[in-house]
Amino acid sequence: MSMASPAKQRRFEDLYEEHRLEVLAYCVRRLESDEAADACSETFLVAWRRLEEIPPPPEALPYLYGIARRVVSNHARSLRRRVKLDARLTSLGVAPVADPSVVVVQNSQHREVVAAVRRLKPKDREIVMLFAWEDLPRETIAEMMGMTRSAIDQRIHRANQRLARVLEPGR
Amino acid sequence: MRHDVIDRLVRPANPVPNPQSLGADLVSMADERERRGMQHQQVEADQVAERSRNGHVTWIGVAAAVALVIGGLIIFQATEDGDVASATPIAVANEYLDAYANFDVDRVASMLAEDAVVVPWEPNANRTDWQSDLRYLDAVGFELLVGECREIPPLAEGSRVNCEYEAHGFGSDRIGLDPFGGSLFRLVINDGKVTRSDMGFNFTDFAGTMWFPFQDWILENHSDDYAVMYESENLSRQTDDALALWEQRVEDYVAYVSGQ
Repeated sequence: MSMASPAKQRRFEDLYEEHRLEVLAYCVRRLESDEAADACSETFLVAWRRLEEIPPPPEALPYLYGIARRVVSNHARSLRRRVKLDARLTSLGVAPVADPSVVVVQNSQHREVVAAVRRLKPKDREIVMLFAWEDLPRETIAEMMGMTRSAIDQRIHRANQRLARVLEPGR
Repeated sequence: MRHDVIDRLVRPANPVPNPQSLGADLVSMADERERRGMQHQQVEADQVAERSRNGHVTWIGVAAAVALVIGGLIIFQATEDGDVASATPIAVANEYLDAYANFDVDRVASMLAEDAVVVPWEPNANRTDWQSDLRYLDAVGFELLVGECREIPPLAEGSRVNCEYEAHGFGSDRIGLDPFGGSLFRLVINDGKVTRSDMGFNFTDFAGTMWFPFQDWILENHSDDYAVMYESENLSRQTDDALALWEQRVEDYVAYVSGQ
């Protein structure tokens, strides 16, 4: 059986050990838990193939988030197809499974906020999540998204205004 | 820049505030799937190695060899030119489309030649203000999913690069539709600058599925907005007031169609 070099194997194991919880959390924030575990696994498979390209810490985690973003996006696309299929099943009188793309939020007070975030435009939503939930600096987000720092500032500002209109309409 | 709602409300609503607190069951499930994925990958790698040892030349091998030769040529050209990234039309096209797909006006401007022609996204539009076009596409939630770029025979005025893409717009992704395909960005590139940019958007499917249904909904529910948002049945207005309304009404439409 062919084996990867011990150095590559060790580097991957270190990377996995150090960042698996953050990557899994990233996926859980965007998908339901079963899908999230799959997406996390796929993210690290891609990471294994591209191990030579992955920069050392502290840039490794944003790089992994970048991979996870594409993996989650593919999962979300197939989920949407499933939701459409569910709608068809419902119209035929067959009970579908619950919408799996809904994030499970423990605190019911937060449900409205998460729903508002999920209704943002996809790119704005991702930027807000990276900023507020992954707690990444704006420069890092700009690099990840292939955008300028000022474009990120504008999008955060705009998303903030939109969220304010939805969540605090009378304020 | 203020982002108080994000700080006060969104941060505390983080579904996983502390990754260390993820349930042990979920972490074990992820570990198990990662382990199985790696095993599967190892088996595939072994099979490829076995085929290779048996002297079977696969198409993958041929493709890899061709890629190596092309890569070698590019590297050779890079050494000759000093900077391949800015020299090859494909690289310029990819960078330009990345800026375009992010609606980054400054980056797009920096890549356009001084007298560049930028064709508006709407068929029959006659405007030259491409910045407004970008702001409009951003406001109505366009997402450009750019595919492969190909160089085609050049013109006297420069290299020609065509790039296929699919697109979402008016919230089509959020209401569960597949992206609209069949569009082709057509670029002319000279001396590392884009001299002509035509978005080549395939309006046909989009018109029937999004443009006209949205317009009907506006006429039915927000008829006062129509004159602000549209120049004609087939043409948007792109003033600041119009853009703000477009953004708002697209959001309302997505909520309406999604039944929220």
